[in-house]
Amino acid sequence: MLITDPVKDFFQKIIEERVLVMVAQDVDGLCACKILQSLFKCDHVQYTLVPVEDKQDLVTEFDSHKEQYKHMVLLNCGGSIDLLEILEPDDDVMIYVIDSRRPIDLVNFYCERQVYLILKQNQEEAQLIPDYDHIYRNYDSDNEDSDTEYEQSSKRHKFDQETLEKKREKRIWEEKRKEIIFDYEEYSYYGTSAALILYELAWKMSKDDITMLWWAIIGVTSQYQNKKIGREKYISSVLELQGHLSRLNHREEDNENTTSIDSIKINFEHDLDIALYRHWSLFESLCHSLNTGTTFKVWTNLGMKRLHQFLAEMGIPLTQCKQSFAFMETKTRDNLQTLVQESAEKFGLRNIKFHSFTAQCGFNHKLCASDVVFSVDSILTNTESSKPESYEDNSNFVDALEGLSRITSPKLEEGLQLAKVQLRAIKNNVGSFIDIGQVLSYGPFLYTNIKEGSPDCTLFAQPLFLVTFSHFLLHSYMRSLGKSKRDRARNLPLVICSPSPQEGSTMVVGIPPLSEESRKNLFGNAFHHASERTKSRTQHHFFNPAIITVVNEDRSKFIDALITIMS
Amino acid sequence: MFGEKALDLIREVHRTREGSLGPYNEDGVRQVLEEMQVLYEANQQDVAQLVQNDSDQTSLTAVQIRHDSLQRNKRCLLAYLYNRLQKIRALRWEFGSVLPTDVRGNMSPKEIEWFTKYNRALANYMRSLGNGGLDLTQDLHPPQNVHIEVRCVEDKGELELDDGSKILLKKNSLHYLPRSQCEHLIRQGVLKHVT
Repeated sequence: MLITDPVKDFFQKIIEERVLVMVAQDVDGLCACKILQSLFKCDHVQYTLVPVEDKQDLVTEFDSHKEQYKHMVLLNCGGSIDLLEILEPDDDVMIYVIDSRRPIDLVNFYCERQVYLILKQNQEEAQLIPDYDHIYRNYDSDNEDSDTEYEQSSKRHKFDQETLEKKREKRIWEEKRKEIIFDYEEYSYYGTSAALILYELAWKMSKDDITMLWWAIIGVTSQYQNKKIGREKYISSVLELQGHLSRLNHREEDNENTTSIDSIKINFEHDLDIALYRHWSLFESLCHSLNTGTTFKVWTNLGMKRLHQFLAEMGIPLTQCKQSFAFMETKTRDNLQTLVQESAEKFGLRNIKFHSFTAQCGFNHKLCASDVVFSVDSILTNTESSKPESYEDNSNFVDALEGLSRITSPKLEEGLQLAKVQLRAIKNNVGSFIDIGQVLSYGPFLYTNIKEGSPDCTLFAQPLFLVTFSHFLLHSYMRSLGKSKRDRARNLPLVICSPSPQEGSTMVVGIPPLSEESRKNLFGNAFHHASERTKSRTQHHFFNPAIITVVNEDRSKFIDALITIMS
Repeated sequence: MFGEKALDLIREVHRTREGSLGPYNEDGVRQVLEEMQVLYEANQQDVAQLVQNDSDQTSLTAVQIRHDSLQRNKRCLLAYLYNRLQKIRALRWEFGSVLPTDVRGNMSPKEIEWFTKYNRALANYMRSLGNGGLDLTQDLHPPQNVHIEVRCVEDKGELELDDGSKILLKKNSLHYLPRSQCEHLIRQGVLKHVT
């Protein structure tokens, strides 16, 4: 059921209760969770927070907590699965869902009670959902009518025709229904960030502040950075956030004398779209960013040369470029943006700048929203357990929450270092994959297999990392092709297989083609059909339907089926 | 030299970390007592001789020194025991009436006896306060917030709160609870305060 007034129907209802919050482990979910936590803190709402990783997790956590809690909030999970079916909640359990995953499950949307969806207000999203009449129709009453008629044998002849007519109508309707549902569920994609939705809720209750806004910004940025939403959607969200920002900043200005240097300040900026450059050296950053790294083809010698040329063109000495950004000459640092932009066009770099936000606290270095996303993402996928054994599992989640809580948090700094390690791993692997020609064209899609025992294997077992890597690989592969081939390949999606942490199975990830601007992903459905057709032993337990695990023996037949389905 | 062993005991107390209780050094205490016994007997002998013949005053200084050593040993022993008792008392306020077994293992039987007596005295006093008693060990500092955010460090099963509702303490889950409910759990190390 859709909630139209989230303040009254959602927040006011749970304010007196003890609430269970289940959060999916992605940056957007964490940001949403942070906002919700501070809202709860304002009103002394007692809550319990549990991270959930996949659908199985969701069910086990739900089962172990269902006796104690009657109100549950799902953040960034559960919207696209039939909650009533998989959770089987008791009648008095209320489930509130704030999820950016689309399509929304129709049962969730149309059920009259228990499951409540909170979407962004006045949005076309709700209009995408097929009409109730097209999906559900009550046939029972008709049947009863016909039963009574059945006894009247005099009208039998006429009645037969009538039933035939009805049957025909019903069949047509069912076909149409199937078609509508198929169209609706064909692609999986992402809608408005959960953090943004919760921020709006806070704003409506006049409880928003600059920290909450920062979380909302990070949530939206993470969606864009992880290629979950297209540029267009990102910009529209950013503009909205900017509106909020200027309103909050304006309020601050009124009492100018009281703002201390230690309070967080956010600025809207037209920033360079290269990874972590404020915390790295310019050279490294250019090498390891998706945009610049793939354009220059840094994995080739020629590409490296071109990168050096690019730097020479800008007129920044190499010694400075290889130095940590903080120690570059102030003059270069200040002019960097214009320098890069001027030279970028010559080298075919498009979209080198993007609209973003930076935050500053005290006299610390500026922190860009995308830096935070990188940092928190890498904390979430951290595999090296450098922590005491006593809290090994889920501690990534706790660390990530801590990293988000303050922008001066030391955890955030650790995350930045981790992110650099991961970006290096991505760059090295992408280079070698392209060099050996590991990316193969299978007709309807491109295919790559990561072999067991390859370096960085533990990283590849992390779905989040694998998805980021696939995007890098796809971009780089596209760049490595000739012009004529490239146009064709732009329309091809990529399927990547990687050994999964479970023994004897493979993780299969599908990502949409480059030409798909809105980032709609058709693999969720395709994987389903392929596994049904071949009866492969697959598990669809990730929230992202385009990631599944297949038992090793069934992999080849699964991929074969996928080829036939998609061609 | 006399008094060396007693000083070792004092050093031992000094070395143990702030707020923790080291093992009761029974051997050390016994050795000091033995030393004192020897000193006392030697003194007794000398004094008896002195009383017999007044003219020989040579051993008088020795007696004096032995006596001072005795006094010093006594002081050190008392300081050792007193400091331990102080710590045990602080532990009572920190952990409540039931001490963790490792702390208990570090105490001598007499100390345990004292602890139970102190416990009883404190409980009696707290019961007499107000009507129905008042737990003085709660809220040693005025709380800033009624609710605090805690993280569960180990699986502990269900916790029943004052209002009758139950919550499940599962490893690595975060909770926002009334401070009074979780303070003792934080002390026991089941929960961890998230700042």
